[in-house]
Amino acid sequence: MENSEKVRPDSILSLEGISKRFGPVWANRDISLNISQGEIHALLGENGAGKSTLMSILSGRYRPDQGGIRLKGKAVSFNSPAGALSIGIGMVYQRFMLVEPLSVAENIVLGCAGMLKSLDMGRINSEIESFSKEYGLYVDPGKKIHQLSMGERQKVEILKLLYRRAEILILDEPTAILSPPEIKPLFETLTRLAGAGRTIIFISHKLEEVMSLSDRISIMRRGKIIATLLPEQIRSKRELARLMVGREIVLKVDKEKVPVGKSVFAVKGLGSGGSDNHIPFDQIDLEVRTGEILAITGVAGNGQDTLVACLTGLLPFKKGSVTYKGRRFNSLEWIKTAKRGLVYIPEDRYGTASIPAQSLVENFMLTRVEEFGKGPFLDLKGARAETSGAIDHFGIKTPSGPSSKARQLSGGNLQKFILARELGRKPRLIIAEHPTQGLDVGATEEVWDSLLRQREHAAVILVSGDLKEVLSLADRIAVMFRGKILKVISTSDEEGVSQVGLLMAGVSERTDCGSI
Amino acid sequence: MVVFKVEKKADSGFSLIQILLLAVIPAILVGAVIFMAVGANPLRAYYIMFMGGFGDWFHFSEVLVKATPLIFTGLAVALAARMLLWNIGCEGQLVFGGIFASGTALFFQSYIPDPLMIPFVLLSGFAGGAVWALLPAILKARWEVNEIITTLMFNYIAVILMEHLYFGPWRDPMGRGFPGTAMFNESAWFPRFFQTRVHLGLFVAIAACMLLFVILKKTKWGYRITVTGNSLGAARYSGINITCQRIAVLIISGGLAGLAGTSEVCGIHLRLQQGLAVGYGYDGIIIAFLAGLNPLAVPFVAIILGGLIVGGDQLQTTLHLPSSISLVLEGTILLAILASNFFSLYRIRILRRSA
Amino acid sequence: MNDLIFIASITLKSCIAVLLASIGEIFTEKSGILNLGVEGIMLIGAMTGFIIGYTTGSPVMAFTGAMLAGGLLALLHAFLSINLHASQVISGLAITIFGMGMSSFLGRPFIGKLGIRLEELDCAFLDKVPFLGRILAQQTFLVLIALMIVPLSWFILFRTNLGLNIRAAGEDPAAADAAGVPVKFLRYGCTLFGGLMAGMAGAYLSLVYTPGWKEGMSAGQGWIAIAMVIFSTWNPVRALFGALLFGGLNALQFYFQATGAELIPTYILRILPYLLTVLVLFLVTALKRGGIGTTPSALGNPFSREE
Repeated sequence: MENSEKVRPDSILSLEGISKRFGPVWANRDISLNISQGEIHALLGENGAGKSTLMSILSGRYRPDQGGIRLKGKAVSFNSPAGALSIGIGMVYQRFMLVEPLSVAENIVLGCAGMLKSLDMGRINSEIESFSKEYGLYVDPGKKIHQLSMGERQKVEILKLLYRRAEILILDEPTAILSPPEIKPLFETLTRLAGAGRTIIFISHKLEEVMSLSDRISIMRRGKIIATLLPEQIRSKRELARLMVGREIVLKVDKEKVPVGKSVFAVKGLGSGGSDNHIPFDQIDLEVRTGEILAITGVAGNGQDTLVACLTGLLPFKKGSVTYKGRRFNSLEWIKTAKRGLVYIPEDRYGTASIPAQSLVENFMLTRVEEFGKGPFLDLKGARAETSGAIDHFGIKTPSGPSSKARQLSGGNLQKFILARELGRKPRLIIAEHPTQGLDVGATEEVWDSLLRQREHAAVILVSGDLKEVLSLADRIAVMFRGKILKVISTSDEEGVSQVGLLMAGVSERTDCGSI
Repeated sequence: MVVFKVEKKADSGFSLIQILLLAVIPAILVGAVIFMAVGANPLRAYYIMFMGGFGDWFHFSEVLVKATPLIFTGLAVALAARMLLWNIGCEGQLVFGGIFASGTALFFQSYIPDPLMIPFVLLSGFAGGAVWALLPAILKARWEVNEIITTLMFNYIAVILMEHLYFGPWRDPMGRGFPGTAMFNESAWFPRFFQTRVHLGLFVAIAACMLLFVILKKTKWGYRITVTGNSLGAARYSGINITCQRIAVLIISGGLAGLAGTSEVCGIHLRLQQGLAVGYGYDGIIIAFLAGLNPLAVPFVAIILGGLIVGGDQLQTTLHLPSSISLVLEGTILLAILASNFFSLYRIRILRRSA
Repeated sequence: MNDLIFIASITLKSCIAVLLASIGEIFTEKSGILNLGVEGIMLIGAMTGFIIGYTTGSPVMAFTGAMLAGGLLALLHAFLSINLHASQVISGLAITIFGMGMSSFLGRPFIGKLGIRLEELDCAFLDKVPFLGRILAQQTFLVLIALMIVPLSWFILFRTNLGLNIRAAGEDPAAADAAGVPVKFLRYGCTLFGGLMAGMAGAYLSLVYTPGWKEGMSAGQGWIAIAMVIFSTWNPVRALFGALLFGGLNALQFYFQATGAELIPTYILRILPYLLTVLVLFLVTALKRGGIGTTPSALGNPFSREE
């Protein structure tokens, strides 16, 4: 295993000693890498390993604090994405850089021709149409971006780069937002482009993809490249995971058996309306009892977000009813009612579950204001005392106790704080959405423990796309695809469990294989 | 190659005082340049301005008189801004407060016993401003219609309506002085103090500041406002009804501006007349900003701004220089504060690039 | 017939200032910058134009000076907004206040003075053109310039790469930047253009419309121009119609005053532009109508690459 490479003669791209700092943290530390023309190179690593930073430097979005880049042996420098693109390096980001109100063609030609040139949209549209067909990436050039699916938008992003004659294409987690049927065509496209002489670098944390698509794999951890390997050199996925994380990750979960109690929460025939921002769902029947953990899983973008918003009463639903603690509610009633005992742990820690600019005391009161104070007045002292207690009890690391601002806490500690706040409300029903996203292994284990312990007096609905998490925690798994629940599988059913992956791809008894 | 990189500071740098100082100095310099350009001695000009506002008790009382409506409008804008709402419509709400107060004083005199007249006038003035803010509030809360533009447009509509009233149906039959309505009956006149023009309005204004401070810091409603102003997502998550809250805050904000109009109309003019809409509403925006949205700081900033305005008038009387110099200084201070604000939030690092 | 010509003539005459300023602001806002300083810039333009015209006697120098003054103030706003990430609302308001004060202060000695006047277009050629000819005869050369700017602006915004880049910068600066669009440069340019236009508009007021200098002579037309931008859904051609509507309401007021008739009460005529703007804004926002013109998504937000 090499971790620093000398410049190879056939390298089209060489990174030498790249380092980048953000404040006190070194996101990239002395990185050197050589890539050959026509190669598909994967950059593998966990969250925070530094992959995105490195690629942002390569694509011109950031400038390195130290080190340099060579293209075809010559040293190059550029200080903007446009600069990088002008020498042939282009990147497709996870969050697409497409101007939504403009059309496909407008987005593709944006920034290309000289300013004063007039736009003949008719000619440009037909030009783009044949261009896209030539590369097997056809999209209707006249459609506006906001009308396109994720896969189509990704095609536009790739077309943008090809239009500008990019030789080196960088893709950041390209399959993260694709639905399973869109993944194979993408891989075929990339392989075709590589065969035609383009060099492809892609970032991923999905071991399977990396193994099947790439010519070589570089593994990053904590800002450095620790190994560059051929797929054949990897003996097992387990070893790959170990390289990524640095130790054996066997997340052992002590899952005791807990008696299952009464039904706490159920929905019947739930359906949402369609709207611009929400992927709709339909015909949802679910039920969860005390002592149970029901997981709702699926590839991101199949309606889970909308479902959670409706379950928590933040979004109205169009059809069906909700039953909570024995009482039935329709949409308006569910939104208006107090929902005592229902606790929601949102996916978005910083934008929804907490207010980064305010103190922990103020954040503690976010969902518990009524507990602190008489009548219209606040009892700040009482709130502060409770907050302190929670911080101690849950072992949350803070710079200055309850007065610390929420943004000063690390992701893991913030999540622990949010859990402390919510679980302290003695809930009967917990809806937890991607609770360990972005957390390191230690924090993840703590969160899992907390949730498991809640089973003694509560029911838990766990929404997560992380199969490992789902399989470790849940008693039953509901797989969502295109807004419907395809099947609910008990985790004790081994054969059922093996189907979960297929179900997530939309393959079930209800649909034909392949007609998706 | 030397490159300047802009970085956000981990802790927000300067205190308000530092910023104010950093802003006042450039403004003073700019003013000095302008004075010299028209042949006046800057030091003398500034001295006259200062004495014009703070030279003796009488002049200071005039500053307090000017500050009274400014405190109300500053408070109004500050309250709305805490929820990230821009109430640019204080001018129109002020006018409508004046209209409602005048209407009460002129036409309901026979129905309201004299001692109750002032409370009624205050209430109707508040209601007038609140009513005028209602439509923009609903448009924003329900449909996200930009409140900067709607409240701005409503300013003009209010002034036109007011002019229509005092040139038309409410015209003073005796037709004296400025165009306007008849004088109010004395029961609607705000009492004055210290043998100056300082009137009840000032005390109501200061009381409003203190009340608002307590509400924001110590009540659940105030907490919810702070939360909403900090994060809409978190506010929705915590169950706050943002639509209702926006409407409530804008209405109260409008009501406060309405009180500004009431206090001008019942405290100084004693009628509804031309000269009510002179820009206090817009000044309120500056005051709220300079006060850092803090209700307790509003009166002080209002007094400073009042001093600037009165000083400008004095300059006009004594040196025959246009009083609009105070606007120039206001604008410059504001621009300088915006610039220095930047330096308190961001740091510029100088990096050396390799090749 | 004469009455109609009278009304049409005044309509055209009184719409120019608002038209020029709003076209400038359309560009500014399309690129993502909100400039509430238009009123102040207009006043500075009016004062500067008048003073230069008075002292040099040259309309060209007067207009040039006015535009430069307006451009300078706009650049200040651009610097604060783009480089210093200041609140664009406050910055614009500060410039309006500054402009109001400065113009009033420096213009004081010139109140009531007789400045230059632009010639009207009255000529033999126009005498022969029926109706339109007589309307145009009472206008000045500037009207022709203004009327040409409208289709030119439309063409630049919607049929050139420059316009595409500007629109992208205003909708999604991050995406535009990634595509190589010089977002900051374009925002500077568009804000500057807005200042030049507002300066020109102001000079029009003091050199053509009134003419003369008076404190606060724009009487809110700067704000109306900003409203007009929304009213026209950020479309220069619609801005012309909006400005004509404004001019028309103005003309009707004059007409009623002149003839003593009052078919519609004056105050209703005066309220209409503002009311209609609110209505249009409601339609554009709430009902998401407006076709090609909707609020530029990034309007008012600063842009920085490494955020």
